[in-house]
Amino acid sequence: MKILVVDDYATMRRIVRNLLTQIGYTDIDEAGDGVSALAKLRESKFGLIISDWNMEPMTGLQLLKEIRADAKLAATPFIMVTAESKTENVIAAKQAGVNNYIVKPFNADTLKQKIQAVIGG
Amino acid sequence: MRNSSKPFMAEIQKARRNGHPFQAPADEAAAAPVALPAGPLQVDHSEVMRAIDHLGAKLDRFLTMDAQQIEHIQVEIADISGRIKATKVEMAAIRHPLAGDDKFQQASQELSAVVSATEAATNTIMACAEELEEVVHELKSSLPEGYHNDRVNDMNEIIVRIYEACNFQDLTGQRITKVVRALTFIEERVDAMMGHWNKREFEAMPLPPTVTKMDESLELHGPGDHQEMGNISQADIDALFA
Repeated sequence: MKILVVDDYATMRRIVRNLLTQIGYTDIDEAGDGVSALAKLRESKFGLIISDWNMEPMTGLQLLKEIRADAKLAATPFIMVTAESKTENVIAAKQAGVNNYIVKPFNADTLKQKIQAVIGG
Repeated sequence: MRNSSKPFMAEIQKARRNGHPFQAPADEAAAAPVALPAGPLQVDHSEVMRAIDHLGAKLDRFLTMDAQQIEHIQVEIADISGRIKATKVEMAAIRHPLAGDDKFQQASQELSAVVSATEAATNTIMACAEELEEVVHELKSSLPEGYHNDRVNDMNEIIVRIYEACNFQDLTGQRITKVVRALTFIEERVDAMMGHWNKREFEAMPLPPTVTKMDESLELHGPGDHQEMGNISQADIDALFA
């Protein structure tokens, strides 16, 4: 399964990539913002998106809404990994169609559990 | 029509020219003063005096109260003036127009430097952990099952914990960015407040004391980029001691 990691922080993408590798996922691509993530999603098929929320110029929530509004991408599982932990934010993400939500800081076990819950591994 | 008993000079001169002395009209002549009764005049003016006394008392009360109020207002104005002056001094201490250093800019730069430094350190830690991971994988594939192989697995779990711990960098970065935004907001508000006053007033105020730590007459700035004005690189220091 190919995973797209979206975060504007290169260090964070590196952390997520390494943790994914540790828990057994090696087919990983990265995007630094929502716009380039959408471009990559339209170029090739991904089995999962792991995205940050707070990014410029397109936020993780906007990316999620774009994906859910696109018939070809709408079914792609989406996990939000973010420092945003306000209840209303989590609810807004859920209403926009996020499959799971991880609040930073997180560990490899949490990431593994959430991925399994989403893709049913 | 003239009611006055006093004739005009023109009337007197005209009468003289005609050869007759001037005579007042009959009705004026009739208005001769009435003779007063003989003996001392008895007038009861006690009521008028009482009214004057009453008015005087009222005026005294009014003047006394007014003076107190004026005094009170003067005290309040002096107080407000003092507070405005003190506020201006504090504002000048924050952002003196003639101060060489900009405290807000300095604070923002220091915080940005913290983000850059922790990011660089995190990347170094990550790179080291990645190299260790490669070594661990090599060892694991070359070792038979058993104690040593188990220990190599333990090492791998430690490497995962290092990756997890590196989360801190993203979070501290976001928190520091929030602080920088708050600083920018305060800076804008201070600038706006100072904009309401004459800039020259602030220039005349005493310069704020430095917040830099001093050792005798030397300023201790702590960590700084060697490319910053006034800083020297290790290579240049080495050259000095060569």
